[in-house]
Amino acid sequence: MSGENALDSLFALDEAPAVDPTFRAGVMRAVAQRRFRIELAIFAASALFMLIVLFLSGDALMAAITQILSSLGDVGIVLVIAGVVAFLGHAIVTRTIRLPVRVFS
Amino acid sequence: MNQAQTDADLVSASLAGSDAAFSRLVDRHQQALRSFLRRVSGNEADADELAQEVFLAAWTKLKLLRSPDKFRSWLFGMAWSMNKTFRRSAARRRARDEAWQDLQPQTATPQDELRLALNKAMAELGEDQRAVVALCLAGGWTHDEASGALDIPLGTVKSHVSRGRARLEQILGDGHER
Repeated sequence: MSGENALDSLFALDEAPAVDPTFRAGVMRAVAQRRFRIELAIFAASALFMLIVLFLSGDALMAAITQILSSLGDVGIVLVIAGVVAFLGHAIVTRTIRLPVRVFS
Repeated sequence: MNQAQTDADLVSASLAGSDAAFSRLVDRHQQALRSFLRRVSGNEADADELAQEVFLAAWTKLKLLRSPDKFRSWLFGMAWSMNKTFRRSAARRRARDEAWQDLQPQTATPQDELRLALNKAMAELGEDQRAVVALCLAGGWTHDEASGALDIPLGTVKSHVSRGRARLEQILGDGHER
């Protein structure tokens, strides 16, 4: 076998399919897994950072909270807790508030 | 998703978080990339596995792509580079697979024999020459494009193409005369 056409027809035997949904699905599944690992690592690092910050500033934070709570009174405390719960609930349910990390995707 | 979208558009959309755009890039380039890797590695399963790894690496490193319109060249350059590393680990597994295949009853069609002859002929070429032949002769790339993607000087690419073609024709001609 010789000539350019002969080579072309030989190379055509090795050609991958033009459309391959299985291959695409495999790539996109691998992408989803990698994204999940990256988000998990960011979430873990953020949580660790917050814990360290809380540990280091624990005494000052507690003093500040105690002072604020004592000045608010019972009704104020209930309103603050309700506000925090409403904010988090809205963020999680509607996903309209951008959180630093996507908790559910 | 619009058919007329360029690679640069799809790269931008992927960077903005669109999986559909990246999936479109995969659809657009999978055939050429897998065919290139099959011709370079000579093993279909290894090539497809590596092609998946290459797309995954592309997704991870997409932010580093300076010219989104050169996505294809960047992707193939990465594939070529990853192929060199992948080949070493795949060689051991391939030896095992081939030993197992030798034990199976052979039912090769004439097409299989031609494919095998081509693989053997490609294996006789040097590593760089094989990549250049796979891109320029089989994939229809220009010498400039191949030079950019593989990071091989243009003169060397031209010489690899002409010598590679002559060598393949010689090997395949000899094989069929026997």
